[in-house]
Amino acid sequence: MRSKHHRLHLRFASLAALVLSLTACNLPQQQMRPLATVQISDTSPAAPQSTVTPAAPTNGPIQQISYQQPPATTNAAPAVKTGPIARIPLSAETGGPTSIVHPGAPYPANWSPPQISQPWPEDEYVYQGGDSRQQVNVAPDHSIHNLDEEDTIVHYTTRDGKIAIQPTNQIPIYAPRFSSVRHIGGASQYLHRDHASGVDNPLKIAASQENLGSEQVLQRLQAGRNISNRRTGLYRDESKARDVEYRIASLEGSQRQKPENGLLINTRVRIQNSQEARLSIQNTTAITATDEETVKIYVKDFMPYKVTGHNQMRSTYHYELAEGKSRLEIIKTSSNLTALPGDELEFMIAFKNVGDQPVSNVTIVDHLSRRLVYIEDTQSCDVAGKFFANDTVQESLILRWEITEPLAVGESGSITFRCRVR
Amino acid sequence: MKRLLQNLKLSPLLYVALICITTVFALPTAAQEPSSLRDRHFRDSGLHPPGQVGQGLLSRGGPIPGYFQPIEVRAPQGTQLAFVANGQFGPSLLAPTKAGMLIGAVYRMKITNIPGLEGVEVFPSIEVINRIYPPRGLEAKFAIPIQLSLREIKMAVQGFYVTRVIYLEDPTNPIPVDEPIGRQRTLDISYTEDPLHVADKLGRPVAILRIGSRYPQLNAETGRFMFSSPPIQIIATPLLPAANTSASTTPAGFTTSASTNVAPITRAAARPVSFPIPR
Repeated sequence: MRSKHHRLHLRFASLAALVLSLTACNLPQQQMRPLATVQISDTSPAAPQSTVTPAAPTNGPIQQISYQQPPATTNAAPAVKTGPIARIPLSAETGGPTSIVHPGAPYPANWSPPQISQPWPEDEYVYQGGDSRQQVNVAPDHSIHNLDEEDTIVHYTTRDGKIAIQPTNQIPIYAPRFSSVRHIGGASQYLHRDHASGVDNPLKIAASQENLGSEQVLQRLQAGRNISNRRTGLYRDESKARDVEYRIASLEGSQRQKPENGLLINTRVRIQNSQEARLSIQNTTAITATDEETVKIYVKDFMPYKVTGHNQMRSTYHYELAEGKSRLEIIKTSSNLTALPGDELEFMIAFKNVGDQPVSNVTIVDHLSRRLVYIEDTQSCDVAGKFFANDTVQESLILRWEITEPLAVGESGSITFRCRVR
Repeated sequence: MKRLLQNLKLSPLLYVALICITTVFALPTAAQEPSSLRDRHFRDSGLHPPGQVGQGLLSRGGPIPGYFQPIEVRAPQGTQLAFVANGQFGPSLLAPTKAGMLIGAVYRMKITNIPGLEGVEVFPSIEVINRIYPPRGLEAKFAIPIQLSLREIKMAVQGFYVTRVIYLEDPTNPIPVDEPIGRQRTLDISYTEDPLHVADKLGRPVAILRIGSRYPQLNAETGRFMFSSPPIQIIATPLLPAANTSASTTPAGFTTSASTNVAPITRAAARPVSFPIPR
């Protein structure tokens, strides 16, 4: 009785789920209903001024549509659409945070696919700043390694002699650039291709020939040969594998391989169990002998990379360093986050010693993207320093500012320069 | 658990319901999944008939259908172009002109008043096969530029058929050259190469321009030459006064630099274009 109830419940649940699923299947079809543009007329009593900007204010019916973003008004009257069909339902479909209908933009602001971080898509942005891809390293001679394109970092020397590296923030600049690939052919070629596309459909009949493979059904008759499969009688022989004596013999054979660890490699002597303890003693002695060759003492974080002898440390020096941390904060900003090819952008790099110790050898390095061209003599730095601009193999530019004086606690500086977007 | 399995055997509708639910939840996820491989055109060709590439991308779950991607058609100064509306060509507009075009649809244009080729008409077509995602409010500013060069128009007049695939350049490996003024950087390929596949390797193809038609083959029944007159949005072009152009007259979302090389548009030239309403 109880199982019958369960079955009824399950059938009812499955029917309900089926109805729900079929209802949900209609949702995409509703979203893809025929679209239409807005018919806008100045004679309309309430033109949708919130979404459409007429090109000419007093020149008859204007149907040109702009993508101008209207100013946000709190008491705006609801737009009345004079056309028979409204435009694309935008925020209602996407569930965006805003309810402003924007012509031609089916996504709300800053939209990105689920679980995809902003900005998106990446191929429409030019990035500047940060330390992406490989991590930048600075050698003790202040040579920089792994400085990738678009990277901007500052490296400085702390009071205890360490070299610290601090990348800036990353600036995404929306600057898509387009190019084209051209193919030149004859006009008659197009006509021939157009006809060929219509012939593709009758060729689908050829696919029916593939059904001839059903003759392979005859192979199912091979199942009749199972009569001769009398392998069950072989189980008697397999019972011999349970013999424990064979397995003990195999264990003895494995012990014969143990002489490889010692000096008895070429002496094919059968090792008894009583000799195993002696071999273990010899191996232990060898490990102790090799352990003395390793360096056991190192100073701070400088690990030895090459051992040339067995000299041991005989004296120890103790340094007393002032307590505190050296920290430099650096921020990079751009005058505009969108740019067309040919536009100029002004970048500013601001840095400040936010630690409790002065830092020295402050060097700011900016590897420009290949999409940016540094405009000559536009850089300025409000602290004393030297400026260098080096070309790279990839025809990009590396800008480098070396601050001459140490940066005291709380002291700050800024660098500005201009670039043109290619 | 055993009883549950037995019950599941007795309700095959439950299997159907589970499959439907899984399908319903999986389809939108697949459609929104950003994938560079989805944007590639392994089975398409740039030499396919107009409309096939864009529709193929939509069927693979590409950009959302219904979005009007702004396109900026540039041409030599003085050239006039007209878009198709309601099965016929609308009034001529002075290039450059911006228009919102549906993805996957094909738009026929009429190019007239070509400098040096007065009296000659060329009928190129534009197929938008992908969209871009500019910041909100800047859709028109970052319209996809399509440059009609005088050399290509002359080649079309001489009987050549030019197929040009416009692609979004890969920013991680850009060509370190300045953008040429008045023309679009173009890579000429050989006759045996496929422009769409070459563009796939260099970036993300977004539009296909085909120039070659010189005689309109108007057929009201099939609408083939007009590609069934897909809906189009003509984006407002700022009216430029004869002198003392102030920045305040330029609407937001338009660049002043793009308007400097445009001849002043008269009131007659800025007449509205009739928009078809699809049924």
